[in-house]
Order: sequence, then C-alpha cells, then structure tokens
Amino acid sequence: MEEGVAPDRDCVEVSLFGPGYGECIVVHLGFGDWIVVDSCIQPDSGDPVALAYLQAIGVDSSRIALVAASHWDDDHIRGISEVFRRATNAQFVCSSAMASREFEAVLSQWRPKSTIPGGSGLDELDRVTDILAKRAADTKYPTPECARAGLVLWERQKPIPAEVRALSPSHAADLAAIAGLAGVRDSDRGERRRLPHIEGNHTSVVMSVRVGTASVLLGADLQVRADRNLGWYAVVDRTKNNTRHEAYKIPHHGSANADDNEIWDRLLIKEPLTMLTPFCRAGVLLPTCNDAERILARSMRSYLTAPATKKRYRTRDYVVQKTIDEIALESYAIPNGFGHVRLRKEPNGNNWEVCCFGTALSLEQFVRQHCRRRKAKK
Amino acid sequence: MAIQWRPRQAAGQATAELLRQQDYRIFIPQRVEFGSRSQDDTIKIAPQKGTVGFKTAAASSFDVVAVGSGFTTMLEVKAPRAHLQKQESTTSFTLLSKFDGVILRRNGNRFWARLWENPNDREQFEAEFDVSELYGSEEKIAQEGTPIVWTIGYAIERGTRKRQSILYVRRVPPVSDEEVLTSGRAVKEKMDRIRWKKE
Repeated sequence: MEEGVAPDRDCVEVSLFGPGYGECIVVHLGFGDWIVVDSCIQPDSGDPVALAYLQAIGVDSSRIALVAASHWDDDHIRGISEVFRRATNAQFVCSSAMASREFEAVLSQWRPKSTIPGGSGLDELDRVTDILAKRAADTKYPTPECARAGLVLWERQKPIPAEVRALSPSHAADLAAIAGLAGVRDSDRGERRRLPHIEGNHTSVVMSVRVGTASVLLGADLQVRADRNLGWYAVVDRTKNNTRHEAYKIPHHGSANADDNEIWDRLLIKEPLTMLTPFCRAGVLLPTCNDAERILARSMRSYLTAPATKKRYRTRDYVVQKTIDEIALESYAIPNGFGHVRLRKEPNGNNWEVCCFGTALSLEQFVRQHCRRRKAKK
Repeated sequence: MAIQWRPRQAAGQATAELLRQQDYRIFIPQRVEFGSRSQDDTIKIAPQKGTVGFKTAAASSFDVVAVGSGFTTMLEVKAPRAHLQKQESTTSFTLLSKFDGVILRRNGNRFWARLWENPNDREQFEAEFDVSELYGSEEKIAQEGTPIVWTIGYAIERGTRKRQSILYVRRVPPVSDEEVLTSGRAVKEKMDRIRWKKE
C-alpha cells in the first residue's frame, strides 16, 4: 500500500476503503486502539483490506479491539472471518438477528450449498461463528455482543475519553430482520443454489465514534423507512439534539432511500465531512449523478473511494466479444479499481486532514468528470 | 432343441428402439450356433415374464442374449463376434470461451448474472439476459442464486461453421435430507456453544 505511514499515537484516523463493490472502515481511536467495521477484499492481493492496511503501516492485528459486521450483505462482509481470526483480542459485534434461531435455521439449510461458486455473505458468517464457537471455551477471548440502539460497544476513559456506541438497530428492526430470515428459510425447496439476497439493510448497525472532540457517524447501509420505529427515523428519534457529528460515512452508497433532511439537521454539524463507497451490482450503480449532486448540496467536502461508472467488459477474442455484445442486453466489467479515503484529526486540532489514495476522489471531481460528460452526451 | 422366440414383431421393435437410442451400428455375425451350454460354463438367465433383455456389453463371448418368458435357452454368438461400433457424428462444437456464473436478480423475463472464466479472475463481468436465451425449458428454474454456464464457440455441421452461444443452468444435485440434518446438527451444536453477552 502506498499510504504506509501510521498515524501519530494520539491522532484519530478514519479510513474508508472501497473497490467498485465492497466497503470496509478502519478507525484508529488513538493510543493504539483500532476498530474494524465491515470488510472487503483488496483486488490485487485477495486479502481483507483491513489486515493489508494495518500490516502496511506496521500495526499488529492484535491491536484491533472490535470487529463489527454492520449487516450481512455480501459487499460488507467479504473477508471478515479472516480479520476476526487474526484479531485475537477483538470483540465481535453484529445485530441480534445474526444470533437468532432463524439465522441458525438459514445457516443449516444453506451450509451444504456452499459449494456453489460465487460465494455469499453467509459463508463468511458461518466461518465467523466457527471461530466464536472455538473461542467460547477460552475466557481470554472477549465475549461477542449483539448491537442494539444505545449500547456502548467499546469505551476508554484515559488518556483521552473515547466511545463507540451503536445507534441501531432498534428492537422493531431486529424483529423485521428475523422475519425476513424466516421467509428465506421457508422458501427453500432444497435446490442447490446460492443464498438469495436477504434484505438486511434495516438491521444495519449504525455507530457513533467519539474520541475527545472528534466525532464520526458511520451510517452502514441503514435506509429511511416510513415507520418511525425502523431505519433512520428510529435513530434520529433516540438521539439527543446535542450529539452532532463532524464526519459522516454516508449510508447505502449515497442512495436517495437512505437520505433524509432529519439526519443532516439533527445528527450532523453544518457542512460535515462526508465519505462514501460506490456500489455496482446487477445493473444498479450508486451513487447516481443525482445522488452526488444532492450530497454536494449538503456538503462540498465529500469524498468517494472510486468513481461509480460502468466499463465495458472486454475479452481478447473478437468472436467471443461479438457474441457477448449480441446476446447480452447489457454487460459491464465489475469495477476493480480500489480507493482509500483517509481522515485524520489531531487531538487538539480543529480540522480534519483528508487524503485520497488509489481511485478515491472528491465527489465534486466525480460530478465534474463523469456526470457532466454523461449529460453532455445525452 | 427348440428355441422359443418372442413374437418377431415385438422383438424387432425392441431392437430397433435400442439401436435408435444408442446410435450404434451392429455388424451381423457370419455364423451363429444355437444350443444349450455344458454345466460348468452355462450362463443362467432367469425367466422374466414378458421382457426382452439385451446383453450388449461384451464382457464375455455371449454378446447377444434373448430372454423370454419360461425358457432358459440362450443364443450364443461365435466369432466373428458382434461388435458395437459408435457411429461418427456429423456435428461438432469448437469451444472458444466458457463462463461460469450465478444469477443475481431475476426480473420477469430478464435476469442479471455475474460471470467469470476463472473464479479467481479479477476480470469478472455482469450481464443482463432475456430468459429466452436459456437453453431448452430452463426458464422456470432460473431464479436468484441459480448457477449457470455460458459457452460460446463454433458449431460445425456437415462442414459448415456457425457461431453458437449456449446459456444453460448448471445441474447440481439437490441437497438431501441427510445433508440438511447433518448440517443442522453441526450448526446447532456450534451456535449453542457461542456465549453472547447478555443484556
């Protein structure tokens, strides 16, 4: 990794990594305490990016205090079992739906189908639970915990107070997620296929990270729901007015269904520093140009780990290429760029220092380079 | 010794059916002898009511055996033995590329799939297809999570080369009840061991 310089001992650092498909956040809480939220794979090496980054800056994985799986979507969970296996002092955190009997039933039914190529997030969680079961007998390992709104997941009093608090999921969201799992379990007719997508965004674990004066809101993939017991409205309603955050990991890749004025007005300072990852799957591309412009209207200090663009898939064989173009209604190569947005703040500093590595760029630059060109083409 | 044959028409039909199914050419032996075998090397065929059996695999020198109801006599074929020779096919397929994949999303008559030549390849792609592109009547079984294969190549038929794309569902045996039970026991045992922090 090019950015191989570790932060100062008392410096707060938030790193957001994202290829075209995937997301991982690594946070330095100061004084050698690290947390990892979600995981994705570094395209070049095939290693979990959190481990590759920490190794590159000379940090031992035993310094990871917390490994959190915000939810079970494939793009948030790849490689998390390996991160957790290597983080021998870390507590594992996930939503209570993942510890439910319904989850156990889905795992039982889909485990024999793990031979289907393509993998799924469930395989990762299967491996995580293997590790948890092995470690359960030994008291030296921290006990795993189910996140719920308001729960303090990690804290430190000295030398600088720090706290990681879960703002979601609400109890209602957990119940909705468990019902979703039961639906998947019942739909199984034994055919050997990959686990279908289980709607898990509403059970996402949103986290508030505070270290001294620095505060960051990690939005996971939580969406806005009409029911105020679910989604962002439940978070907003439970959070006190005086707890505003300076930096914000925008949820659900900047999509409109995860955005609401109440989030900006009640949970964030004016013109916060924001960052997000793109999403490209099954024809869906996020953020769209409209999303980018909507976010920029709220904050010009927004950064994206990789441009959200579809590139044509190219093969070496002309005949194969011609056939793909003729048969497929639409096709594109999975974006394999890789970017890193890094925010750093000194303990007494007022400003965050932002650095972009790899394919990362400012959202304004993305709009200038890609959206305006698209509009001009139209 | 009298040999009992099944009605000629029925036996003939069965033979013709066999020939058609396996696409074999049979060379008729030049000399055929009938008779019962001595006791040590007799092959005993149990009488089977109303059936005709054909022993086509040449594991012994008894290459063709007819069996009817209520008789144990056999037909012995002597050299030259009956040979089954596979007929040369007039069509062939030259593979140019083969992609494995999985259906990500199905939306009515269209579906999105992720495809790759090698699962470890960085170069993967996603494509949208019309379900009518699927081979045969696989439209119904194509759903989210179904593994698929896409082969692209040349079909050569009677010397004429034609570009061909075949998109089909990979047939994987269904999960057995025993597999689910074993997996269920293992998962339950594992999950019971995990001590989640209590509220």
